[in-house]
Amino acid sequence: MIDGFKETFREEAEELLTGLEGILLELETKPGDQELLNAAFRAVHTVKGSAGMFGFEAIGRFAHDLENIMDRIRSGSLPMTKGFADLALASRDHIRTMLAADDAPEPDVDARTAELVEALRAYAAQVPAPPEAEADPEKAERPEGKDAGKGSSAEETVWRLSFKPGEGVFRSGTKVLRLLEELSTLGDCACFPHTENIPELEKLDPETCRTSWDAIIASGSGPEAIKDVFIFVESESELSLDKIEEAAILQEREEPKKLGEILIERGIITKAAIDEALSSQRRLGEVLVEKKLVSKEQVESALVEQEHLKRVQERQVDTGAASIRVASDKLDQLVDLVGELVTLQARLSQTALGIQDSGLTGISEMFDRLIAQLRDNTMSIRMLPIGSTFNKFRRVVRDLSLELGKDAELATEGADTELDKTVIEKLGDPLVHIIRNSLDHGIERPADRISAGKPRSGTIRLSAMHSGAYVLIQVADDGGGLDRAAIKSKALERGIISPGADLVDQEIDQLIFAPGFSTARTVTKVSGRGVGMDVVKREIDSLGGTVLLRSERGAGTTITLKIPLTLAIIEGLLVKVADEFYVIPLSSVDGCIEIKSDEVVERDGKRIITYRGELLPFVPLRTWFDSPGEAPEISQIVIVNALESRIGFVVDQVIGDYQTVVKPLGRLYRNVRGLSGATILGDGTVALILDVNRLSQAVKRDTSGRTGRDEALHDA
Amino acid sequence: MKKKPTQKVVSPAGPLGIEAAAPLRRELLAAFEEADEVLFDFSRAEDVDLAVLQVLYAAKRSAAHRGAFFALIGSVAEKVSRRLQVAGFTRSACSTGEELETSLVDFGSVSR
Repeated sequence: MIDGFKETFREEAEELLTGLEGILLELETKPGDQELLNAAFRAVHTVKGSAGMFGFEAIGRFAHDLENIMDRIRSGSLPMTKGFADLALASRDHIRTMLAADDAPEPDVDARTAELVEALRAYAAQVPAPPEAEADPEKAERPEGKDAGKGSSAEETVWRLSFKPGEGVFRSGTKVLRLLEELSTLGDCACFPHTENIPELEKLDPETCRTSWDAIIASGSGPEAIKDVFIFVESESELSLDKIEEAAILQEREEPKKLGEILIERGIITKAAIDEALSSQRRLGEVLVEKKLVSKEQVESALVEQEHLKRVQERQVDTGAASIRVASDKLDQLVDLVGELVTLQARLSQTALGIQDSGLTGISEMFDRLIAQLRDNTMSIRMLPIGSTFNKFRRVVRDLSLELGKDAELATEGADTELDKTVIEKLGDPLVHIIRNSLDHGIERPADRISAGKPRSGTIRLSAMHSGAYVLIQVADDGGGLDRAAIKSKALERGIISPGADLVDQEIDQLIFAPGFSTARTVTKVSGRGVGMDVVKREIDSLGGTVLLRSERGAGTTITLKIPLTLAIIEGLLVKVADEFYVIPLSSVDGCIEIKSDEVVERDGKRIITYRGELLPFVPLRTWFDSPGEAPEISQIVIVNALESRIGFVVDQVIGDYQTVVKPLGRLYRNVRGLSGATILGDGTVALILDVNRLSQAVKRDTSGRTGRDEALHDA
Repeated sequence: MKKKPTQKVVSPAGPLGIEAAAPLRRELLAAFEEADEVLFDFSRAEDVDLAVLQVLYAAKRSAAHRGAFFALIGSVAEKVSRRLQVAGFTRSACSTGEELETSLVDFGSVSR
């Protein structure tokens, strides 16, 4: 049981530390941002508190030192410097190491702890700590900032506040509206202003405050924190604060508070008067105002409170069931099971079609719709925003630019873009490789940048966006661009190309993906060992994705990764060639046309058709995959959008759309270019899934008729 | 023949803090003397303080009393809209004076 709790702590600490890394990096550029300082403090404070609770005492002690400094920085008694950001980041990394070591004493870890504690204390000692500078636990519990206040509804209390500023409050220069804004940062707050005492213009003294407020606030902050907002006007104002209810208790009420109840609680009216008003069977507020028992403003203010309480109540219910933590392997099992269901459904619909029973067909169709919904829902559970990995890259850029003596920053776009969890996990390493390469080979040293008329600091732009069933991830730098002459001579030296090879720019660029290629004159710690880009390409290929590269000398390089949204279940178009079935991902299909064997035109050895006024090359899959038998008199051409152009694939028959559960290929087929996986059809037959991009590239490269199977042998 | 109503637009610029309240009151009083319809244009107001807001409430009440017309017009800065919403003067964001006119708590109910 305890192990289970420890695991939960580890997971949560990991999340907090990931968040802390992002906050610290942001603080480097905005050192005075109070919200960021508070957020950093809260993260460390929570790690410290939970560590102690779950027996990670060494982590607790270490985090305490860091927390003390952060508390002093946020209160302004210590400066937030770049040096501290370095130290805090190193401390954050060290807490992760300690977590991994299970808090057990290890000489290396302990030595590093001692080293960092010494550095932290030295930083703290530069300005002597005032006696109250120790992190105040009560203050620490108090959520600060809007998000914090609103995020802690579990321990919230609902308060009713009445605030009547003194008449002379304007003369002391107090900005009353700002006080209410500050109040609203402590939690979910609704204010109701009373303006009935504002006279006509002729009688108004513009320097006299005539407005007062009723407010209701659901906050995790204590009463002192709420009163503190008004501390500077307290002596000249009337302020009352009453606890209405714990937010959690509010949730248990079956009905929201009634207007009468609120008015009685506020001491505006008696229960007897309410009972009498209720007997008239009309709206309570109207009756009370009519009888002049309460003012219209008092009713309106009570209604604002009623509505707010209702909202707090609803939110309590929401937060109770907003999210649950599920182990990712359970999710993977669910996806597998859904995959099996999809396969079984295909079998059911095929059987129903064969039996021709209207009852069974109806059930099968209904089942089909439900399974499609189940599939979409299950897949969406696995989708995560890619932004969760962006922090890691920001850190890579920061640390590497320091190491290389370069000045660069990472700009990110599209952090909300969602991608399958497994794809995101596999993308991490390739992206780190690309970003490292951009910094090491792309971005120039500050002096070189200035002499080239560029800003001193280089920018690496990491962006993600959806494009059909794919996500495009781009890493663009504004560095020097690829040095094609150097690439070519290095490729020659390494024997990657033969002397006299006539290569166009694009072909030269592709050489950097060749195994063992490196142009760095010295092998640096960062890159230049020639194990970067070929690994990137291989890993992206394994995800069914493609790598595109565009570079302009002097202006920079852009590398685009085109990655499928998911690897598990896709919508496909089922086609038949001879006795074999193939699935073409539906997201790539542009259209289907019929073609008679005598309509084929050959030009420069390429077969061409006219499609929507455009001349397109096409390739018969029968020839490409060396399928036996003769092509039928009338064939179908499926036009697909490949990476850079459109191409047609000739098939014998188009069967229709098909929910495809992607299964990996066996060893024999793994190296056949143009296939990305396989799927099992309803009757148990296996269909191969075409990798449209790679197939079209292979076709383009080789129109002389070398078959896929030849390539398989060649690759093997 | 009925006389065409005369109109005056008051359009103060800047952050409209406490110090702007007294001059605004004077300007509005003068405007009511000169015209049947007085309009307060928010377009150049970068911010408003409670003291200024009170002047607008008072102007609305004066107009009702005099049988004159007073209304809010022009675009409302996001900062102003947010400030009024947080303090409970409006329940939703307002981007124009016309929207404010109908949203301000207890504002329109007195006149018109």
